[in-house]
Amino acid sequence: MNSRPESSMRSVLLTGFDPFGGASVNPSALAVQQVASRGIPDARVIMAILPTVFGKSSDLLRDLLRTQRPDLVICTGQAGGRTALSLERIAVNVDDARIPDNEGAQPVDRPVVAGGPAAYFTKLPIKAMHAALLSAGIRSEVSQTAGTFVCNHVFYALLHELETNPELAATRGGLIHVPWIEGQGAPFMSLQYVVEGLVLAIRCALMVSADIPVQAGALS
Amino acid sequence: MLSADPGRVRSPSSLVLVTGFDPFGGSPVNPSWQAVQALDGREIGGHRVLGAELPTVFGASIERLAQLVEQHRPRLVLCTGQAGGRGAISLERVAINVNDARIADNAGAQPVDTAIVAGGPAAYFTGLPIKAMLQALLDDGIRAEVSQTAGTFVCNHLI
Repeated sequence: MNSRPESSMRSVLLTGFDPFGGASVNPSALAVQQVASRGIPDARVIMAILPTVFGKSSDLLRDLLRTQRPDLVICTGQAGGRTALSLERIAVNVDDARIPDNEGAQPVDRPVVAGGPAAYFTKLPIKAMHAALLSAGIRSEVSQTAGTFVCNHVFYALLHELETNPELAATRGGLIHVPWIEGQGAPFMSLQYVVEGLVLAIRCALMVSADIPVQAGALS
Repeated sequence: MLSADPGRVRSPSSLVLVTGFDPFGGSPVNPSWQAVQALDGREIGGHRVLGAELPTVFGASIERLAQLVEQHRPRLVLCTGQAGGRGAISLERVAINVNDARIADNAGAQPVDTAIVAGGPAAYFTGLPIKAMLQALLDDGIRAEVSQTAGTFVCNHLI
């Protein structure tokens, strides 16, 4: 009786952030809106824009995780100054804000989750995603740090929830940082490539269960 | 039963171990070891500095550090390494449990996505007061920054 055809369709929770730091747009929000309206083959996309606010952003994400129970979670955020789609390897348990968030909070050296471990590695197949992006001619890199602002805050809260909530034991998740887009400054990536890249990265994450051993480290 | 540290009575906490690395990646020098060499034997705040050069080699670097710590029981351990391209002295906040080498180490090894300590936690934060250290450096006019990543080569491997 539970052979509903749509049950084979996997769900993807895709998030972006609202603009912060005086910017009028956030390319992560623009990109995830476009990905959601375009759709992912054989997947149901749940899209949400998170506020660039410590606490509220992770609370909203946790609510979505618990109510939607997605198979895959891709959070995205803006990383001005980066030149490529940045597949984040690790989330660290610290908030250290160089600028205030959108509600004026500027935590310094505070844990994201009190008593949580220092860090979590993503379980996304980031090397395979990286290879897929490069093969398609989209600039990509594996990043060893998502910073210590709201993106890392949400990333850590995501991986902590996936690790500690038994109902989400099969869910994989991660964070992709996107560069500025045209008009925001240099270096930039065109929004069209950001969207193409996210679609490709999501499809790869849905297909690949075990990652591939491709070097993408940093000397320092 | 442990006796009261008989082997450590000779001022156990008076030593600061500072390490640098040997040159790697075809470079003739490594500024980390040059700096440490200049500090070796100095006294800082009542503590004697012991400088040591470590090989830029996965595994062997850690073993050498462990030997030095075991032998000298330092009060403080400060590892230094070269980060070409950075504009300041970088105080590292966190060490992560992965090796992912962009180039081969000095013994020809190039591990990809291997754990440094199998079964160990994903990361450790440093116990050093890096914000106070940052402030002290900046107050002295020395370019400094707190860094959120030590990379995935031998420097991160060691810390």
